[in-house]
Amino acid sequence: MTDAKFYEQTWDLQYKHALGETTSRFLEGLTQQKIWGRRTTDGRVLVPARSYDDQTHMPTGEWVEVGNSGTIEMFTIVYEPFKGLPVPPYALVYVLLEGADTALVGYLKGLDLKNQKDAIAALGIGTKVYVHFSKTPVGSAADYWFELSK
Amino acid sequence: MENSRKRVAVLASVGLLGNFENKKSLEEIIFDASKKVLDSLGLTIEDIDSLVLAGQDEIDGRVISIMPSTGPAGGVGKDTTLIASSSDHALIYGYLRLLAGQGKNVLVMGWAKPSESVDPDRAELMSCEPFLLRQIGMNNTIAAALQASKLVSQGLETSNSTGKLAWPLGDRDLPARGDSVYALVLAVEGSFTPGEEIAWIEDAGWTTMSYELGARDINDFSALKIAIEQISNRSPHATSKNWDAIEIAGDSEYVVRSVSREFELKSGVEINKSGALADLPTSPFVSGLARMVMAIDRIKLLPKGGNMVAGIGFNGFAGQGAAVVVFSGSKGE
Repeated sequence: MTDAKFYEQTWDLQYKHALGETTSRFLEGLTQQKIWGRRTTDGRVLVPARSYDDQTHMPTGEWVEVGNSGTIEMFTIVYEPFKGLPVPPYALVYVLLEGADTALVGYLKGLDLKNQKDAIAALGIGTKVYVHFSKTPVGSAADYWFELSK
Repeated sequence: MENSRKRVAVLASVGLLGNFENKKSLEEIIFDASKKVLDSLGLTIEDIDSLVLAGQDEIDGRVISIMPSTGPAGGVGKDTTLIASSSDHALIYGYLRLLAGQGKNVLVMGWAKPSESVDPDRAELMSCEPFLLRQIGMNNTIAAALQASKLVSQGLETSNSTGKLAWPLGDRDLPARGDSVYALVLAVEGSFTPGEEIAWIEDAGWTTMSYELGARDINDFSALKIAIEQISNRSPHATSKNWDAIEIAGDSEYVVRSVSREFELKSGVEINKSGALADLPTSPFVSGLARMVMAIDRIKLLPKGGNMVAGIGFNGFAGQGAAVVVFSGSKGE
């Protein structure tokens, strides 16, 4: 009887995604230590900035700079290693920044995560955090992260 | 078609296409097309009952693309489905939904943005089964060349640009690649003001043959023949003999040229009057829907009345699957 065989294959597809004007400006703002949102027709501020509002199906308009501090809306501490993601443990949070109506995703740094119980206690929903910007920005999501407010 | 069944009309269609759209994201061009077709009717997304979308993940680089694309299309909070097989299937699925009584109208959209892919041919390779064909290598160009070689062996003349890409294909024989998004609003009769429609859907047929190129005669147009037969059986008046024009998204011009040989058509039927494959940038995933929109445009150009135009699309390598939608300028009986 022939042994069953296997092929290991890798999908080496490459993409060059057009970001569009709105996302490009949002990312440019990160290099200037600014978080930009866009106001919807019903007055909400979407962060990150989007050119359209999927709730109303209308274009967004005014650019709005939101604050650099906010509160945690949800969080997790990741202990499982995933290919392409940071070496665990690391904390991922969604933060509602001052002046924004949607929460911005990012890493939370500067907290000892090895003791899970203490880390969870420090990261409760509603906890105040602030945005920390990279000193060497490159115009990507790596340019910012959150840290607990002192 | 049973006379008691409510008829389905096309109220509006738009196509946004360009060679390479670098200033807008895929999501933004989806939003633009959705807004444009609704605006043309004075509607908002609140007026739409459901959405049927079609996106090709490996070309656009968005796996399970319904997740990021629902919002810009207008699907938040709505009955939304994404079709992965082919954009023309989205049109047929939307049509069937209305025939089945699922709502009064539907927004149908199909798109592909090959400019997002550094190497679209490489993405097409991933359509191959992983056991043998992916290692040997295959894509739409090579499959179309294989098909054309059989058509030539049966007497079809080679084109002027023969052999420059993959024998017997030259660059004028293949569909031009480009970013495109199409959007249509379909509605059931009685839900709109008579005369607001731009075309009626007479019927639709579609089928899929064997995936294996070596297991089928790739130049016998089996899938297309079955699709047309489905229409003829249900709606004899919409058979190919009565078509006034055809818009066909052939895998190559060899396929387009073969249609008149393979099918019984009306004398003087217009084939691809909207333009040659090489002149209308699109993507294989969208080309069928694109030609169906062009078929609707032909209806608008023909004298008002019962003129019938067919839109034909293919999917898979060398016409594995085919879809036909027959449009008419009048509701008929």
